Amino acid sequence: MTEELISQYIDDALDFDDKIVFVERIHDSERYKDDTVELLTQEKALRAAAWDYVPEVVFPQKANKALWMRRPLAVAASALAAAALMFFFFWPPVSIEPPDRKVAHRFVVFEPDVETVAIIGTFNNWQVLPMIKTGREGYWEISLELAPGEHRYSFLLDDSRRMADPTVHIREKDDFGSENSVLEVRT
Amino acid sequence: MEPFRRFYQQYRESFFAYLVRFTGDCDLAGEIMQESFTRYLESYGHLPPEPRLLYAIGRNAALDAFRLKRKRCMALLREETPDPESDQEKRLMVKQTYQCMQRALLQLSSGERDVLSLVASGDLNYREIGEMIGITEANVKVRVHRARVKLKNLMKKEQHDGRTHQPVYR
Repeated sequence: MTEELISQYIDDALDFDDKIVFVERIHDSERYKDDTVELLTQEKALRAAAWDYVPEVVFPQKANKALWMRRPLAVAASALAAAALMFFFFWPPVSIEPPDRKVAHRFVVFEPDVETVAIIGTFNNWQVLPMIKTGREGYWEISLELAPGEHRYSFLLDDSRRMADPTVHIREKDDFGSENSVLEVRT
Repeated sequence: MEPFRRFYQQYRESFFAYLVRFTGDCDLAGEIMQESFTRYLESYGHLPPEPRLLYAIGRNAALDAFRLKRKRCMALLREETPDPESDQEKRLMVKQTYQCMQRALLQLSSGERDVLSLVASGDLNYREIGEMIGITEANVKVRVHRARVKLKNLMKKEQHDGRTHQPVYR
């Protein structure tokens, strides 16, 4: 089994006990030392830059500049004309439809062994929203105003690990192996 | 955007190197790198940088490509004559000195090449690799060492055979 210590040595994955065993084997066995040097040399070659150049990734450009930025005068004139038309046709002013009524939703998760918990989801365009630790038991919570409809979300633990909401049974896997909870908000 | 730019600069070369080792195909590696970084930016660009996700996306894309057989990962083993019409300067070519290594890599089993390519990237530890490919950390230790020893023997055979053909990397 100590043969595998050579690879762990190459990959900086030895703990202290393993290091002791490894060093002892190196001193005891010429063959073991030669194998180690051979595999180290091979790994150096394997990791060497083997290509003349690395292609650059072309990232999709953001949407073209808005029309008003490209042709401000034309757009301003059109807007003025439209406003004048609206004024004459719809005076007195028409009532404006109220926006969709939002619904308050409280997210709670029990995670006593982490430093931070945040929530990310479709409702905030996957931006990180820190949750607040409540009490000393390890509960974290946040209340959000959500539009009616279906939302996907997950919790972000210690800024690194994603976790679906354990209290919500409907889940959906994304393309990258992460799992999101699915929440339907009704008015 | 700035953190993502730094992330891109930090992992661009090692990630490309990983993809070439795993697929044995420089052009395919370039395509997968383009797709992977773009998808990473779309889905995770706003989160703290996480190379594991980038590698998971790239590995999945490579496995998809193998499955669909759009490109054959064993292209290296085919004897082909370079196309004189192609633009040699722009070609993605593996350096001559590395070609023996790449041929040997492609004779490993896909599982051995998978784990060895990930380890050689230097961006992931055994635990992360185990989680990514669905085996235990102890299994990663065993598999990576076996792969290295097998690669060593294959390299010796390659050198002994004195093969002189220069395959084209498509």
